[in-house]
Amino acid sequence: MIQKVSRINNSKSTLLLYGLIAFTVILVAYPLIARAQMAAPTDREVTIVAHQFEFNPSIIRVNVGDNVTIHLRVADVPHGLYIDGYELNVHFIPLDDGPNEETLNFIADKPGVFRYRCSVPCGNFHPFMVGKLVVEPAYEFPIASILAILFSAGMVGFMWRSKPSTPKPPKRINILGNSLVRRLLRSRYFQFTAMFISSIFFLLVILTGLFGTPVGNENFSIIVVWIIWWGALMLFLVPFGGRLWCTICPLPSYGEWAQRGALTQKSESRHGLLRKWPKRLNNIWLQNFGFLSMSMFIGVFITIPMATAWLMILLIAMPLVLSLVFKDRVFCRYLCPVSGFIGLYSMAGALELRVKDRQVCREHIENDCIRGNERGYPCPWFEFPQNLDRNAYCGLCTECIKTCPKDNVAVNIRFGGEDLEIEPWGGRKKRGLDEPWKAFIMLTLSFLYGLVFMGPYGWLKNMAGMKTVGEWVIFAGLVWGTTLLVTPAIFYAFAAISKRVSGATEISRRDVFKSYSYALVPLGLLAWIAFSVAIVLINGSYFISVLSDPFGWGWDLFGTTSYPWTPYFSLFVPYAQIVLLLLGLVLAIRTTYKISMRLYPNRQSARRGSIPIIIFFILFTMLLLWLWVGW
Amino acid sequence: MKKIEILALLLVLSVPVGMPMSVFFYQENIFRQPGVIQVVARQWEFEPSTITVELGSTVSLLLTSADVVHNFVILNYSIDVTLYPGKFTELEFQADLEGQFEIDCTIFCGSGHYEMSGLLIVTA
Repeated sequence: MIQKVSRINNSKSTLLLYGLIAFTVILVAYPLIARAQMAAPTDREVTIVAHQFEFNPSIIRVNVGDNVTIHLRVADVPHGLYIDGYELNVHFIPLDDGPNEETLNFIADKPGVFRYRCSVPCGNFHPFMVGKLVVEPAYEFPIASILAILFSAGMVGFMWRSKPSTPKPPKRINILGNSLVRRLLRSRYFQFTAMFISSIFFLLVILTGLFGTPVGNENFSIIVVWIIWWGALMLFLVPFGGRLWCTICPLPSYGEWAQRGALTQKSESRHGLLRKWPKRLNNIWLQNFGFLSMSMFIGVFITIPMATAWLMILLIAMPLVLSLVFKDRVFCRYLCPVSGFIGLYSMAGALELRVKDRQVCREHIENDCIRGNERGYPCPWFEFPQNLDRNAYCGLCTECIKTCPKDNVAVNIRFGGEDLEIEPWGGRKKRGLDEPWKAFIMLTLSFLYGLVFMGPYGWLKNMAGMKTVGEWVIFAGLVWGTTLLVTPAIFYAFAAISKRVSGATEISRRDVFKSYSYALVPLGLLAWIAFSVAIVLINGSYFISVLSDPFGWGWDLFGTTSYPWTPYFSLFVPYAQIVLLLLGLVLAIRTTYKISMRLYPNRQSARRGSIPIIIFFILFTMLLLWLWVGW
Repeated sequence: MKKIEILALLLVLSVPVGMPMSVFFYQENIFRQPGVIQVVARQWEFEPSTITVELGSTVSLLLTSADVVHNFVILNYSIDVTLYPGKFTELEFQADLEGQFEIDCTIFCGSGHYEMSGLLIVTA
């Protein structure tokens, strides 16, 4: 009987797959038909009126080969227009007695979707003032979507056919095997030096933010924090180094140094009240809420230097105050809004700290790693290294590398990992809903931020930029509502379908939902990488000019102040984004399958149960593809 | 306390103390030239709005904009400099006409554009 029921359900999910394939066919057909119906190239005249911070119209459609003339007018202040890929640029500086428009003429010889953006600094949201030029036939979105579905189908076929095997441990290379690295990480001077150097940049961010020019793109603070730091974090540090940023982060440094009363040495005494963190707050909900609170004001933080400076002051004052009251890295572990998502995505990162042999730890009852010794402090992140099986809350602070007398700590470069599939600490703690919600928050915001900052919608920018209180309230509602309610609710529905089609009865819907939510991590990470690639390549050149004039006071320290805004590889950005998003999908599906195999009692139900989740990922990937390369 | 700790402490303290000081020193003693008047254009004013100079003197201005593109125009002196936000332009001229001259922004820069003006006073 059970067999029969599940067969019916199985055919249902197959039906869904067919539905998707049909959808694909329509997607393929559209541009083909469009091309077939396309008229011969003609002359196109478009008048674009630019105002803060939107082009009107913000989406232009032409056919490949058209002779396009853009008449650029402005409604408030001088603006410009730069077309990605075509690398065309026109400035319109309207003089009192001058012409009322500037024209740009070109042959639209490259099909595809191209962003055009303002090229004359026009106010705080200037870097995000964009429109879309669609040169038909634009194949990127349909082809990428087809690839998404084909890859998914291929992976399903491949995984279905693969023989059941015991999961192999991932390949690992212990970098402490290198004697130089080992000596470096065992030295007490290493972390001090790293934090000290980063604190110099940090202080310069605060100073430039407070006293520098209000023009964001000419101020060191905005460029370094939101382009350079963010780009380094998302493109390099997190995917390749996991929590590597936490090793050098300057935010908790002053607090930690004060509490220890030492900088480069191991001290025997501690200062402050040294309270323990309340047990009921032993989760990352505060980080979730902190991140969302910050996100409500994101349009202000990333455009106004003064706001960035005050955010940084807050983020350094908080750990300082907390370290007077609580012992060790309470701020990092439970409160830092950045730590929350670094921890989440570090689970997909390629660097991990683990013990080499658990048996050695079990027999070593002195536990220097959690008691500390003359060489180092007890783990400031409240971890017990021998139980580490996920990257989430290991801050790579290198204390246990120093304290372990058995030389049993390894820092591994790894290929693959099972952080996303397992319970923390070998099951000694059950996963709560805090981490799943972090995953929802981050995945949702990767889309929402893309829509706000890189989408052709001025009204969204007005909301995020707090143009009026009413508009901002809507934005805040969007930030909290979509991340905490909408995405989780939709995912819950897919998880419920998963449980139903799996035929498994002995497992709760909540567990299905919770376990699968970890598969959001690789897609979310790659979605952020896709976002960051665009930010760094298009606006990274500002860094060259602020380096010579960090305050925007007219300095020219290195002779690069007048380096103009130069988008790099703007033609390739969308293609890079497609590749990244498809990679995210593939990794998410792989994770889904591995989670399924642990979640459900047998392979049959695991396979069936993973289909609805895979469909969710295909749909979400298509949403992201639409955001970046859609019409 | 070990010597190295004292050194580290000095390093740590040197940043919050030394950085603002060196920034201030660079700005005041190396970057800023004596006699140069800095003028900031913003929606919709020039700051300072009145520049007073002596007839026959050489006037040195460092011009910038703090928000959007403006320009700095003194018709009688044939001065017309476009100012990009956060970018600086040096301007030097001989104050050889006596009188009061309007400083204008002739680039459309928003709703208050036509009220945006300053004054150059050249006294004997």
